[in-house]
Amino acid sequence: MKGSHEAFWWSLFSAGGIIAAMLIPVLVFATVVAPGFGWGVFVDAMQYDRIAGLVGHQLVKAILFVSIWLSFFHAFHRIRHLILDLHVPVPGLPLAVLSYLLATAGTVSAAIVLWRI
Amino acid sequence: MSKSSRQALGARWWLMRRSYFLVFLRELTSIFIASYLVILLLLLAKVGGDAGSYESFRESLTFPGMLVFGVITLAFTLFHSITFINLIPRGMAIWRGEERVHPALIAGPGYVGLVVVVAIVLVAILR
Repeated sequence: MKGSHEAFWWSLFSAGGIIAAMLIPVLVFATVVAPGFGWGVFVDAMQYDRIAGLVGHQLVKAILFVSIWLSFFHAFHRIRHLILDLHVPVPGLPLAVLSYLLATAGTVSAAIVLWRI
Repeated sequence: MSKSSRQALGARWWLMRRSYFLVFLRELTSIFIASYLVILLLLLAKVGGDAGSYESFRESLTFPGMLVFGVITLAFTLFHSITFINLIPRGMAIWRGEERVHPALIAGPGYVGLVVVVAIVLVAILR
């Protein structure tokens, strides 16, 4: 039973890892780094009307929701294992519950935030 | 390096070898991914609000501290991309008859996918 649970979290971890690998660097670049350096096309692209128009599209919302959901599960699964690997003295089960609760909270937040756009 | 090895070596296993340190850095990427997701959620929440609060949040993303955080996060997330795509052949061994398909032929499409996704996102944002 424990093995099947682990396989479930592992599958979310893997899917999230691939999505994060494909999507997160370009999003970090386009939303934080390039506008932060004042690169014109990215500063213009991040203006309210343009971003609202882009993320207001239902397909973009769906892609963002799935990406945020799986990336959160990937990240917190790995953070959980990082904490265990560093021998931080925390019991395994509460750590697992807290990790996946935080991932779930991030996912629910994403659903609410995207719903309101 | 297996999980059990890391457990057996103690809390400072990641300082023992360069390869262990790279594994540690790979695990550390998760903190930067989670941190950026929170920033992305805040940005999206502001998009759902009014233009004024969105613009002031966007302005706060250009502060020097945030820019430093952004550059470090970009480096870590790129490291995640490379290491995760390189891990695909380990988790997905493909056999052609008796011969195992070379790992580069499995990881290669991952890098092609990365380039395609980056291009699509940039076109969508910049158009």
